[in-house]
Amino acid sequence: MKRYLFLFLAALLCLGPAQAGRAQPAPAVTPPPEVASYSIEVRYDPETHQLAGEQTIRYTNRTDTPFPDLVFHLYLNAFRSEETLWMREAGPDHRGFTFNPEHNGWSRIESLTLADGTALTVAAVDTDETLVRAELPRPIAPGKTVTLQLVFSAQLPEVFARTGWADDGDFVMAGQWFPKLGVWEGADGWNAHPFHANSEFYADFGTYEVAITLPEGWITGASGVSLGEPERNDYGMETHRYRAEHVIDFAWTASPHYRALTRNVDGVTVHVLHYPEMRGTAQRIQRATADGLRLYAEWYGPYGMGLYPHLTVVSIPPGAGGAGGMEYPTLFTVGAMEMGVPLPACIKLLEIETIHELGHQWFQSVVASNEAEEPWLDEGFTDYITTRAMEVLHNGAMSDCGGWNFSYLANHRLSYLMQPDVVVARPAWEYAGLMDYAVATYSKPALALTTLERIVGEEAMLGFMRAYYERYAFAHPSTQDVWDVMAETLGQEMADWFFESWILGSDGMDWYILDMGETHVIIQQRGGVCTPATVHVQRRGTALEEKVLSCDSLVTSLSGVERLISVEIDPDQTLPIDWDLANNGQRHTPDPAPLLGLAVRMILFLQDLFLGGGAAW
Amino acid sequence: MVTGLKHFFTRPLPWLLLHLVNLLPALLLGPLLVGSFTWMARYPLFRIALTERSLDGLIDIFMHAAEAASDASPLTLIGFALLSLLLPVLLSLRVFLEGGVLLTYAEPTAPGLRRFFTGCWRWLGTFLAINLLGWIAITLIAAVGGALVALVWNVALWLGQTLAVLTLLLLGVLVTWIELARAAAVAHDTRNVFAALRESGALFVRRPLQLLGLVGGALAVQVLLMLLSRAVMRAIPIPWWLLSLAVGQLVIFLRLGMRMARRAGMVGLCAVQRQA
Repeated sequence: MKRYLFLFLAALLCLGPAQAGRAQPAPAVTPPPEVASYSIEVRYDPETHQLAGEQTIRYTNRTDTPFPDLVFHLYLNAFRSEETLWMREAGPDHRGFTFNPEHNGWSRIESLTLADGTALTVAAVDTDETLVRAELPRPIAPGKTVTLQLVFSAQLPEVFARTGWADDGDFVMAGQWFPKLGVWEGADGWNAHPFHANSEFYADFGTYEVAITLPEGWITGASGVSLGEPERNDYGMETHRYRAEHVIDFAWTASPHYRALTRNVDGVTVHVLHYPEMRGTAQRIQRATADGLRLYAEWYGPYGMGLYPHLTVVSIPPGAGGAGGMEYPTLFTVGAMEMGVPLPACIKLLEIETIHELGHQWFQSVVASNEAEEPWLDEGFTDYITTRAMEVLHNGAMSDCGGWNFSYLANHRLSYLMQPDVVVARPAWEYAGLMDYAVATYSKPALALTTLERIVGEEAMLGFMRAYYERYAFAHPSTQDVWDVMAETLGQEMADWFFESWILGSDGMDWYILDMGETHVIIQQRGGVCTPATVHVQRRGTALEEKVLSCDSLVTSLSGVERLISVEIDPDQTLPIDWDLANNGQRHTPDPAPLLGLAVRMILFLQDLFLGGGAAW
Repeated sequence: MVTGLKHFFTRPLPWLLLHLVNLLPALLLGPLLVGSFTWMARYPLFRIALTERSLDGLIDIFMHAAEAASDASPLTLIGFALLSLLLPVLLSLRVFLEGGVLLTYAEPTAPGLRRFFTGCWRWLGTFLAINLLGWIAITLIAAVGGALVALVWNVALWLGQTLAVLTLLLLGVLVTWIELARAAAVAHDTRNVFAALRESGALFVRRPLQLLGLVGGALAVQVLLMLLSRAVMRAIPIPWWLLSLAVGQLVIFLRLGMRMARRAGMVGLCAVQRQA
């Protein structure tokens, strides 16, 4: 237990003046080697909501082990019916939006051939065909590239689980719309899992060149950069061309109703696509995006490590909220929180959603962890940096209506306290349900990382985060990799304590006052996880005393403390992950000032009521 | 109007009286209504939460509400019961005192207490009748206007918005007319409801600018006071109860003063019209 005291003292030494305002120089970055590159020509029919596409895929074996076959994701097949694995796990709803079986989704590989014309046979891996496999005539050796020609067809569902169409077909958000290769991990084989309800995605870096053919007059947005004006053809259709480099995925959106707000933010062109009646919402999104871009770049490193010149933000129209709140490389969507009416400025859900999805551009699009096997890595880190950004931009508020602040961090606490024994590091399919998943991947890691920052100090935490971002940019880190970076930057003991306590373990922490009299106080610690804490003892006629509670013993008794007024454990709230912050403090006698203050406010409220309320008349 | 305003400044009795009537019930009820929160005062987090206006801390404290239930005070329930009884009494008291208030500003010399309360009784029935007619009219106009706005809003937004503004303006004129009618009743020394309505209605035609200046100016000052007080009160930490009380009472006093000044001005306008 003494090592915790050492940890704590070491952390104190790391504390230094906050230097969040210091801009970071852009680190030198080598663009990642391409692994999976796609050239896709796709035609979308807004009447049938179907896609017809042809892909040329170049996949390079960057491992030491030859791969004998290919495994593709066909994610849309999860929405074929209510009987799929995905649907059985999720129920008919996904995050509050309901599946419409009459407008389902599916995906099919029509043909798959090698560059020399050799046809490959595609067979299902799972019963839902969200994974398919094709044997190769010869294994692809390390360092070699296989080129494939693939023809596919697909149908987008009515907006559900991040993808689909809405507004009678006048809106489409195409996510996970094309057959996508899994990740070849050498001796471990293909990393590709059937599509589970709580799972997201995992793919390799490469270049996407995509040509999308749609009816004339439609406005599109997509990952990457547009290659110019749409090309008209003779059939009343137009082809929109995009190119995205160093990305793990490609998504696009289209509607004849879109308008665009465009702004340059420190060299990044930001387009916010929105319906005309949602201009006010789009302006809020644009402001939040600009603020977030600057903060994250300053804290962790440049957007896209300086390799992404463009960012598209899609303000999801009403009725399509199921497509909102999702991240793709250089594109993200906002609108999962839509309630059909514009949110008042005092409710910051829009800003939170925007800044969160933007944060994924760092932790998902560039630091491309495996979202299926280790979902906490991208969600937990992104929600932590979101909490941090909200602290700077909006005093931490999730809402501050009437001058009363309810913080995003408190929201994490409430969620966490509903399931405080949840284990964070698990594959997506092992969570018991949506609540379990949400607490484990978002709230608990965000709280734990915030607590870690308050223990080690802002500067040290920034050092860890920057090292993580720079080292694993355009790579696929695991939990162990992050552990190792933390050990290098914050110390092995701190890293071990953090991961064993909060990521791998199910215990918690609560410092509390067990008993208090006028001359004694007994403090106890429970939960299984301990970190030292300071305690303030206020006595009549003496200055405030500060003591340190160590983890040597679960019970600490302070005696000889005469004329006690109050005792406060962790007065600076460096431990927001503590189960109960109220029992951290106690007064020997009630504090009259807040009660009198409340009484006065009530008196004034009543006087106002008797005058006729807020009416000036 | 100037005479009326002069009387407002030189005859402070109504102003002081109404402030007392506004303050005393609140002084009784306020502490009762917050009695249930006494158990929270043992938590240092309570003071922090109120100082920083943070719901975070209050939520943590409320998690202990169940264990504190046995300490919960019945005072709050008593407070709510008293409030529901007192509210109609206070509203009636306001109507009752109106006669004496207006008389104070109308008379050439300041009336004593006895004359003040005689005035209260004299016009009580008239004012109740004027208020009743007024509320019926307001309800009708609000209902019709609101329905029209709702009907038109989705068809032609600009028309809906225009109708909404017009409805609100009409309601404002109606409320002013009711208040002016009470002033006219006293200024013309009549208890005839329709005569009072007629005389006050004529003012809209004969002295529109003066009326607009008086009502608009009073409204502007009231709005300014409210915005200022909201900003100031938000800046004062809740535990700083003495400062809150002082600032709050000053604002209430000034708001009441604006009402009295408006009434005094109306009485003055009606008196000028009578002389004309």
